[in-house]
Amino acid sequence: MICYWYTEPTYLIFASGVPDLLYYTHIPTAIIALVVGIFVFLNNRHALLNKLLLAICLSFGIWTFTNLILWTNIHSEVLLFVWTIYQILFGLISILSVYFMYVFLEKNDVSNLMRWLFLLLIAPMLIFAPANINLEGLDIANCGAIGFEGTLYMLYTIGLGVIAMLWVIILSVRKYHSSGQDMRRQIIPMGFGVTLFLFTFFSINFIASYLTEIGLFPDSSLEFYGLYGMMFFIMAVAYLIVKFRAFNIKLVGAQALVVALWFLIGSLLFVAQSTTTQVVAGITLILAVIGGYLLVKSVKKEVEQREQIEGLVVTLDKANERLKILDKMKSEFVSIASHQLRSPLTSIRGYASMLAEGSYGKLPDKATEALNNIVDSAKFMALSIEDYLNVSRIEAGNMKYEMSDFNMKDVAEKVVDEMRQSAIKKGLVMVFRSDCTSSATVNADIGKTRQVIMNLVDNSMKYTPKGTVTVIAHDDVKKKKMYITIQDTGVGMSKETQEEVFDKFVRAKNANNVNVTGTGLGLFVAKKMITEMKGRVWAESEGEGKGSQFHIELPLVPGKSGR
Amino acid sequence: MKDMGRVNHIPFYIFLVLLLLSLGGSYYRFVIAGDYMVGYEADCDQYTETCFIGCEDDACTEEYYYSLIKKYAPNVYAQCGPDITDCQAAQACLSEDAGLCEITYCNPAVDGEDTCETLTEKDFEEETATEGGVDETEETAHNNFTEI
Repeated sequence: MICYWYTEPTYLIFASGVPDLLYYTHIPTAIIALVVGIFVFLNNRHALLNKLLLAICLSFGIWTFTNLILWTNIHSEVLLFVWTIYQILFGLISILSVYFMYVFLEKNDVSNLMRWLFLLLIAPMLIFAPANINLEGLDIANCGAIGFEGTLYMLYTIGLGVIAMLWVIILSVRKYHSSGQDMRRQIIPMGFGVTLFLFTFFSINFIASYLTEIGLFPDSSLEFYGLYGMMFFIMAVAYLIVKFRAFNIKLVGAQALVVALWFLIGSLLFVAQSTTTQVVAGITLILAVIGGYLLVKSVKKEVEQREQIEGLVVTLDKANERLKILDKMKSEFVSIASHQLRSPLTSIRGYASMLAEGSYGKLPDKATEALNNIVDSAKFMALSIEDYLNVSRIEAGNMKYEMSDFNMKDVAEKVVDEMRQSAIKKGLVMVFRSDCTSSATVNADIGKTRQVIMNLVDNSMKYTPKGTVTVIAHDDVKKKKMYITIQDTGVGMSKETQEEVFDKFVRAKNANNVNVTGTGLGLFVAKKMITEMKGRVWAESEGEGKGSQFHIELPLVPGKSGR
Repeated sequence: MKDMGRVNHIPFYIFLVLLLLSLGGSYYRFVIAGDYMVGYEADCDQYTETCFIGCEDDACTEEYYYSLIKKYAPNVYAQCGPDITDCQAAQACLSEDAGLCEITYCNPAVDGEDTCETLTEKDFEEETATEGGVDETEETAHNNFTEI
């Protein structure tokens, strides 16, 4: 039977006499939903959430198409068959929305019990869809089923929509309370999106039917606006994809905006009344597609480059962390190895000294000379081990400082007195001078300060083949600083060497010219120690062959200035 | 996604079977068997029945009168073919409709006074006087008459 007052549609859905709004609301909305659903699905076909989104979008797309047929077709048998699909899809969209929201929130599939519950809820709609309880017939005058729809079936459909909406709200609120900040920021848009979609979709559709049935509206074209509910859902999905890379999709805002622009311009084609407007809209769409494609390509390239850099930074961070661990392990190894070496070395030194001094009887001169060489080498080795131990302690953060007030000038003077014999043996002149105007009291670890001064004096002696090593104690009361300067007439150093001479394992380039042995750790340890005691160490030289000056600076103790 | 253990697909398969049966059943009932009722506006004589008032255009410059009829689609198809326009058999309940036919007339109490057109006795007498008498066997107007 045909609806005798209406004309046959072309291409199944295009008929005259229906409101333009029908196409403007249905076609773009369905296309957007389908594009988003398929796009998300194709990006990760195995993810359940993506499959569910596709199922919702497909159901919505088919529902929209059936709705278009119901508005335009005039064959009663087609209309009634399509009407049953239309009704079933209402129920299906409700259940799928709850399923989708559950998986989105819990990142997990529903339990088997829940599956049975979903089936139980949708089953009555499927079983009774072909029966009179759903549809008895069709009004071929108005081409609609109003007056022929089963009240119970309709109430069940509405009820299912309301249950789905409340279910989504409850799931969202419960999860919101037990989630962290990041998840909460995702729950809000998705919860609102799905709830508004269900509310708008169901309420407007059924309110429109009811108002038409009671005669307040001539037709149920009010239901067109219900389709915009899908836009809330799609917007929430798009927001989460762009902002949180939901559904495992890397999409930037520019891509989403360009696609939205295409749809907006494309949808104008459906409402444009005149051919001129349609042509203008068509050309604009083509230009927007080309421009948008180029823009997206460029943005995508930039994003990929940025991601590569971010990836490299992460890799570097990890490598850096690994290096720190390895460095610590190395320090621990050096510490253990050094301790193991030091103990036997002490015995070697002790027994060699005793042998050389004749404690075990008079030895030939050649043997005594050899033993003295052993003592000297063992002494050098002990000092090297001490340097290694100090480095490993410093790097492990285990160096202990016993701070106390003491006279730094006196300490320096004593060091000079102790080392003078060695200097004389080497043919050097060692001078100590004091220009202090204060009591020269500093607050530091006396042992380590002494060690540093000794290191620097020893260093100067090593690099001075002939001439003088002068140690000057002086202060600056205004600046509240105490200084020890070790000045030599040795090989000097270049500007480059001055900058790196305090680094680990660094030795002057001209060190080998004076046949000096060393680990390259003495100055490093000296600098670390003085820095830890809130002081400063630095080196100066006018150049190679022009001698060097090493300065130690420590703060004077307040209130103890003046002799 | 955490592993949920063995996933039970039986509800999904049952759903698919029910969906196919439902769609198949609907297709058979509505498209193949045509087992449904159709409703439409039938002719109505405002002198003998209480009719619904319809408008020929949006401004309602010209009115027409109708009753609502529900008939079993296969019967209508057999009597008139797919289009009931200009088919007299579709305008009334016939014996071959075998009870699957129902005509509803306007009820001012339910549908509203403005929706219904009833020819009162005064109107009838005035019209009779104007026209110079009518057939005495003609029935008086019915109120809310439903014939099955």
